[in-house]
Amino acid sequence: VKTRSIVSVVLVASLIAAACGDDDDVAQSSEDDAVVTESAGDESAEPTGGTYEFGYLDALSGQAVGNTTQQMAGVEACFETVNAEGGVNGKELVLDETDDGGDVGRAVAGFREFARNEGVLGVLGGQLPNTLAAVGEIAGREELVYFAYSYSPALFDPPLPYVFTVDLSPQAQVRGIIEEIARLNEGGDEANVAFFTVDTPSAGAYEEGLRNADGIALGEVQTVGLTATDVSVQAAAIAQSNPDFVVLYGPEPFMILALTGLRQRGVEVPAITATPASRESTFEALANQDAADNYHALRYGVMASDVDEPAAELMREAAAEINWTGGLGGLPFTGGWMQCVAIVKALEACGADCDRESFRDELESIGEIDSGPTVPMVGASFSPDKHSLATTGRFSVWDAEQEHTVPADDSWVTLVEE
Amino acid sequence: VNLELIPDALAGALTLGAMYTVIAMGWIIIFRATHIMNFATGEYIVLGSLVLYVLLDSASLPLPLALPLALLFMGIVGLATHYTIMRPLAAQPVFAGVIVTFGLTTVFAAVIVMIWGSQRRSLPISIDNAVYGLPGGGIITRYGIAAIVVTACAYGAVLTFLRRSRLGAQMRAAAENPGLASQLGIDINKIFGLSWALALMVATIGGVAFAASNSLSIELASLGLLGLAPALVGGMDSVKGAIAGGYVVAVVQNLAVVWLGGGVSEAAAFAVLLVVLAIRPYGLFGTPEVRRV
Repeated sequence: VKTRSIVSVVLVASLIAAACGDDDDVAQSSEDDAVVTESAGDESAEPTGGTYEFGYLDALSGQAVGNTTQQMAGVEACFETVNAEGGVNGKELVLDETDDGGDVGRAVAGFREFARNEGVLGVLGGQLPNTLAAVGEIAGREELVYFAYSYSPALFDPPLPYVFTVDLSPQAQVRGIIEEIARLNEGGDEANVAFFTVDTPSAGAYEEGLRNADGIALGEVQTVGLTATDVSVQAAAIAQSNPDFVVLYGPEPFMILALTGLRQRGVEVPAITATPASRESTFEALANQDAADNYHALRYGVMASDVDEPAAELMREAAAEINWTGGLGGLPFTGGWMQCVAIVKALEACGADCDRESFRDELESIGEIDSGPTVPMVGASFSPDKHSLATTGRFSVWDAEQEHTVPADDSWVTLVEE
Repeated sequence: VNLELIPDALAGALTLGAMYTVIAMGWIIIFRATHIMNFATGEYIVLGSLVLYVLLDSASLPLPLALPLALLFMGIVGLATHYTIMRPLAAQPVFAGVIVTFGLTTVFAAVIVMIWGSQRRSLPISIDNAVYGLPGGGIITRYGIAAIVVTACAYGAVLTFLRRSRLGAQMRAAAENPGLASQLGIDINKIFGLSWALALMVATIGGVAFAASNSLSIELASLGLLGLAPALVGGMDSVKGAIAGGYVVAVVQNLAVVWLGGGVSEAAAFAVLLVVLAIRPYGLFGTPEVRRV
């Protein structure tokens, strides 16, 4: 009970802080805060009437289930904590799950099923590219908010009215990588950068970004298939090019194969990557292969597994409250948590009689969520021109003594300009 | 084309070919006995590797004890698969069994995720990851050498078992003519069950060899299909062909990367398969099927 109270109070405090983020919303925020603060004062507060209903639609079975269930757990943990303090505007947050199995047809049917239920204000999920694209396309027609996890240029550049996401765009991620190279290069000569990537459409945005960056000379570019099991040739080609930095793009299995291959060929220069290979398990696997040194991975938020981070502690305790045991060392939990934080802020502004249209408008207008120590993202925001929540990033590196990741640099770098 | 990369391509193919060989053997041993292509090979590999993980990590057993226990477990799983799933289909056409293995991929994936989740793990196998230069260029790691040695031992053990043991002779007889073997008193069901057991044990070695230098999760199941092209190239009824198929595919894949880039690696595996099958439809070492007309 004590832990629950602490979690609740800290979360409510973070939501109060979040609600105060945008100067333009000061008047509105004051009113909203009063509602939340009133709940916070009563440990046994229960929602007083009605529900705000949301759907969760994603592959909850199959190979992607680890990421999707972790994201859903982030939403549920946050919902549970908010409900324990009286909900939002006196109403309980409810999450209904539908498993689309990663199948486009099932995903579209599942979204339409949610759309037919007039009580549902929005649908969360959206990790897999195929289902994200399909559902994102119909969200506008159904006039129902689809708050996804992943990014797709077709949906967010420019943003479709009813589609929102947590993730950074590839352009923002490569901007972060370029910033990290500049920081490590300390104003030195133009850096010879090699790029090693899985063969996917989004890899093109990374290559283009690196090619056009100041202070970088993009040299060797090597690709590999997603299910490759040997990268000897590619690693040898990069080693021959004597790079100052290597930028890698791909998921964890590729990263282990690629970076181990490079290190075995004497390429000890900093290896820098984007969010897909930033999980704690990636660092652990690399450390297991003596390849974790000088590996810098971008994260757009604090992970629940991080140490010495109040936001991480808050998420861990909330995860324990819902008996979540599926792992916390990835961004999906943070992403789910932040979806909840953004939803709560929008609902507070929307009021007790919030309908779909008003909810969409308020979500789009939440502005910047204030970045208190208990909020796991810094500078997260939505606006009519920006439907991707993450705005800043920070690189993590492996601390071999403590055997977990630590920030490479304390500051969060702004990666998305309004 | 950077020809200086050819030694690296060939050196990489040494380890890759070894892994392909044992996984291909997993396909071949079952096929030559039962004519069933086991499309759930990858999921079985993940299961065996995760059992090894539990024995090493949770039970803290040493590798020399944990690995045989994990393989024994997979042998029992193989026997169970035959007696509980495949045997009742004995009277059905072969494709019914093949379809069932497709179903098993989904069932095993779900069970594995239910028990272990889908998070990635590192097999706690500590081998000093030293690197050795090879004559003519290229490198090989201690992991690579270990994988080759373990694979060679598995290959040798299976061949010896099939050629020298009584059970092995019965398996060969059953593979060549099950009806006649049955009339000679050979327990065909026992032989089929043993084939499943042996195949899963051998394929698991390939999965462990890869997982030891990478991460272990349900995603490792994709390794199973990577063994299909080498098995078909070598000949689906030839254990001896597995090694040829494994190394032909591995070498062609890596040389294709030198000439055409990294994106063609998987396509190259199946391109070589098409070429070989066009010339020798039964594979490099497979037995031509002779029919009297």
